[in-house]
Amino acid sequence: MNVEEGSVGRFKKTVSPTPELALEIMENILLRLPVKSVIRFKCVCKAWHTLISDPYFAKTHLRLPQTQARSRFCIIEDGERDEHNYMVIRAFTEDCEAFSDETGGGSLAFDYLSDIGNFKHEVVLLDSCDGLLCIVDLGGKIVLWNPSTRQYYQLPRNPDISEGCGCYGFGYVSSSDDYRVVVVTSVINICSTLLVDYKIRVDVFSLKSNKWKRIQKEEEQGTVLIKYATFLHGAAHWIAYHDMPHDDPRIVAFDLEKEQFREMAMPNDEEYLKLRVVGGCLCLNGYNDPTKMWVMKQYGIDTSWTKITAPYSSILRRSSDIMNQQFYDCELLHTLNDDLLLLFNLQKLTLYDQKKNTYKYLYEKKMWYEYEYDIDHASLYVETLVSPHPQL
Amino acid sequence: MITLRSSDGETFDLDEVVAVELQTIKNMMEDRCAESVIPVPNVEGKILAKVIEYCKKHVKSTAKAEEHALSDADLKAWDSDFIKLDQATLFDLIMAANYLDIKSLLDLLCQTVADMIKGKSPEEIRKIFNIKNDFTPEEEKEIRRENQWAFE
Repeated sequence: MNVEEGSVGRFKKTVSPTPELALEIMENILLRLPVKSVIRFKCVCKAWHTLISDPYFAKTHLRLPQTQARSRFCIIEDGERDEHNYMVIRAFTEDCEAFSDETGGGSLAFDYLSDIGNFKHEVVLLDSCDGLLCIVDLGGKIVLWNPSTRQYYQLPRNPDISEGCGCYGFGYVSSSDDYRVVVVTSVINICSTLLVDYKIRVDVFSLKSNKWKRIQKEEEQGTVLIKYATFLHGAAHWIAYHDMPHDDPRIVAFDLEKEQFREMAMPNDEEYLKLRVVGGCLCLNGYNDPTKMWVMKQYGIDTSWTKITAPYSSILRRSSDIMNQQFYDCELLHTLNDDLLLLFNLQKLTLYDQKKNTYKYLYEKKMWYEYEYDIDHASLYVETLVSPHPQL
Repeated sequence: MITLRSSDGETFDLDEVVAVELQTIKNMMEDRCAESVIPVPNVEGKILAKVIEYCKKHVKSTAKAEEHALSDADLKAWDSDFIKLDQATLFDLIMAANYLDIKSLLDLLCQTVADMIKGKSPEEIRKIFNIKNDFTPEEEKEIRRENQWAFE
């Protein structure tokens, strides 16, 4: 107990001390703060620095319901006009949940811009997991980035992966507490003029050990995977097309823990489809017809694919001022409070109110060049303290 | 009926259904059967009174309680009024809620403090929690430099 004494005069002043809170209580308080505040408070004292920097703190923070409940939007777009081939990544620092507030989300300004080194080829936001974004370029450069802590890490290069050839996936293995990047490459062996042999080679990077590992798998027939996977329930999922035209497309999932492939059926409704996770379920969006969306209501149950009518597309198509409308259809990113839908269509981030049948544009990205199938430039992430660095 | 006695000798009578909201007391009740008065040596009277006020409001489970049950919105409004306290009382309450193991009260209070401090500077934090800065100026400068953006 601290008792301060008045130094002057005959009176001794007794001042009630500020009660000191134990570190375990401080931890309870600190876990509830925005990441920016927590990082700032690292310099308060050594005990706090140790507490906050400990991976256990980040883990606990990650598992809190309030962490999981909030999502933020992130987008890749072109940098300033006078610089060519320069892409920037913008991460919104406001939660999407604020958009559902009547007063909030009016002018959606994110205050943070980051270009992580130079990307010489087209850059893609592969996927997000636990607040880490995986960014990949066609040159094979892979970066893990946490927009909330502004830490990033460029993976060591794998010399065996040729530029532009891999199909990528990113996710987490809970049993090993490890974030992994998986790259699937088709290796073609020309055995003779008539016989061509496909082998699928799988390389997996483990963040924990900071190493690449080769997993050799052999597949008889060529399986063409869509380039970028979506992570759910421990596996990276790609849409796969068979070489043979009459074969139906299906979903190929690579279990990151078991390191095995498995297949899932999918509705063959559209020529081109994009796979995404919305509300914890696999969703398929059609490029050509946005009124069609399929949701796998029960993971792994092929018959649970349910067609959903997307009510918003007719409104947005009419209002679009882009000529080739068929390429600029909306993709559902997120639902807020059941009624509000967050949509993205190449350029615009749109909030659509199902109940009122109204919409408003929240953000329009900078584009100096036209893209097709641009949806890999947008992603949602959660605000966490998870480190993108290997635990050395 | 359970009687609690604070550190400064004040006694409080509570219905059992309220007393079990205080996990620590609940455990004591299960262990010590005959005791009529349970001492709470860590918590003084005015704080214990506040704790009990909270628990009475938040008690569920019996039919009697359901008669007077407040809606979630009402309860939330009551909570926002409840936490309008000076800092010293807030901290005393946190320590009491921690000792008495009342999760919902502890969550409410910790969230209140978190909301209060989130925009503050490290200097203000040290003042609020009476924490000594044990970094050297060079060490602190380095930590600030590493995370410059968080200070803007």
